[in-house]
Amino acid sequence: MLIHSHEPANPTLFPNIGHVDRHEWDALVSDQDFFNSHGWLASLDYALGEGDVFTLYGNAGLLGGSALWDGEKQPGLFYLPDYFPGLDGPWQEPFLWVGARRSTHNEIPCVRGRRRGEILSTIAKTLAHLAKRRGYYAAIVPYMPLSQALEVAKSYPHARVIMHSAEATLAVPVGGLDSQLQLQRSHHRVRAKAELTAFSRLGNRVEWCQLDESLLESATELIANNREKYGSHQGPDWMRRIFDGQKKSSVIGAAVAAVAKRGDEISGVTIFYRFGDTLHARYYGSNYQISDNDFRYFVLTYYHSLDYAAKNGIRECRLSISALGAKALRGAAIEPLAALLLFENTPPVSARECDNYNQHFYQHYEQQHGSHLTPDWALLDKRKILCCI
Amino acid sequence: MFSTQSSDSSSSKESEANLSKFDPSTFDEYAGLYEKMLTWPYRKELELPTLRQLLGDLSGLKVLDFGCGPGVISRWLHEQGAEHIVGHDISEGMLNYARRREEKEQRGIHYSSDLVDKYNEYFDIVLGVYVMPYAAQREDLLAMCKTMARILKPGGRLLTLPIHPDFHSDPEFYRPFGLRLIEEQPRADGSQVRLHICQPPYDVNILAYYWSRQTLEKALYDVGFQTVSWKPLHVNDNPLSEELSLYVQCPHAAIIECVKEKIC
Repeated sequence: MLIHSHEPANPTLFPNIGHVDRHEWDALVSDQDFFNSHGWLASLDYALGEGDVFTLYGNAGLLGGSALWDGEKQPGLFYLPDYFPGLDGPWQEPFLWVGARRSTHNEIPCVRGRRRGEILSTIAKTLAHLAKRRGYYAAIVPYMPLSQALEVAKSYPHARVIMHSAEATLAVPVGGLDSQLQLQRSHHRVRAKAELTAFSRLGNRVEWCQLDESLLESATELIANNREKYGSHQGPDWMRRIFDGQKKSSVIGAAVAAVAKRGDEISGVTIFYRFGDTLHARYYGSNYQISDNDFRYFVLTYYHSLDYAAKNGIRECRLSISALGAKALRGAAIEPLAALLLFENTPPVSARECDNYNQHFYQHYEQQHGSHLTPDWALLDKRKILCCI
Repeated sequence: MFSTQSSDSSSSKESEANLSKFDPSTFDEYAGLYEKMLTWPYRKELELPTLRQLLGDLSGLKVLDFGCGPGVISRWLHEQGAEHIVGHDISEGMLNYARRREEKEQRGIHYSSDLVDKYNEYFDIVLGVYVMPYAAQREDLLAMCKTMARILKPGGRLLTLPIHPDFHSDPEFYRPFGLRLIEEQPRADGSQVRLHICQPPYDVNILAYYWSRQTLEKALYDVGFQTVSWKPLHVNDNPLSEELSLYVQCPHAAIIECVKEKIC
């Protein structure tokens, strides 16, 4: 089979994701990239206001695209000056942020097949131009899986790939939690069993539920509690707004909650979203009026999620970027996340500087997480590939 | 968008030739296009009613959409009452589209890139829409037919749509229907035919292959089909537009119904 034509690609900007066919868009989104799915992006548009979407169309339809935003101006997960400590660069300048708002996993939705490299190159170049045209210093895709950041950089010479984070994932064995525990060292198994026993001994049980109105209201309060405990000032109203957006976009239909109950009372809840064969943990809420010495967070988010996943044909649980040490101790693998920086011309940081920085980053993670690092980290050893120039 | 590939060893004997030539990623970026093509008049008003009539009552039957692409025919089969539908394709881009829709719509359609052993003599009906034109060699055609026969129950039916052996030689004839068929070589078995999908906004060229009536029939009989019948387009009582009336006289695709031999 041959295709004769090399169709030109047509970049188009839309004011929101609603302008893009959801089936065409989602066909380009990997299971791991749920927070860039059409439904999730639409929920953000409803909850937080519309966000621009960049698309690339060919003569047969959508080839690729990405959501755009401005990052944040305060220190935190989306504040560039915090990203690369010790590496000099224009990090105080405004950058165009590529990917879903406040997503800690961003890929660039793009067709597969023979033209993928060419299309990724066009996307990278166009985003760099767009950033410049809009008065930004450059474009950044934060929290991008390292292998994919390298894939893009390989096709665009003015790109830089700089490590800045990592995320935890759990492969789901067919036998669920039991199988997973058998793979672990004995002291890890002992700890897991102790935590599960403590959870039960204190009168807790776990129920898996769809998010109906009643559960949503309870979960909203508990999630706000938890966020407040960790310094967030976004109270229950914020969470209601977020969930209302998810209802409007219907993405709430992909959600399932692991609920810890003691008697009739909810003591904790983790909300997951299923996308393809992957389960994404997103929100955790706790009732701190019930003493939380029962390991409810780990029981809901790790242990029971493995059994639920195994029973429902899910292959992987994704556990985001926080508390990696605790997650690794409970069996999670740690995947590398890089920032992909797209400059219009020669980048202000050299390949060598990036390389050195990434090596130190890798060493630091190796010391902390050792055998829990996934094979993708080895890509950082291939110095010549790393920064692509 | 089709495959004669199977992971099992028996089917691997069917042919490796096809697989070496076919790049499944070719179709990865055409899911949206293939989805929308089903709404074009010649398909909606002629092809689908004909298939509906030929398929008959699908309740309780196991149906395979062979070369399912974005799953548009699989979903149509579901709307026709089929309950056990498998969509098969080897283009991961196409399957991604089909699977994402299934996640949202929950019709119970299973999509697979492998026709593994468990599917041997499993299906009551195999529907292969526009897959035969992509067999580049005679052995590829035979391998494809073998796979479709393998997964059918004895007595099961295959409905398949090749390029019509007598399609119009003027490429422009089919332009009103959104496509052109351009003969790159003199018409003969295995000759190249460029399918130009030209319905705006689309502008896509796909290389297909011509197979004569005699060769198609021989391939189908050789793999164990007992009957091979050429079916005319079904025209219902509503008058057709002038353009569609022209199409009926010289369609670009044929419809073949085959019945697999029953075990005696």
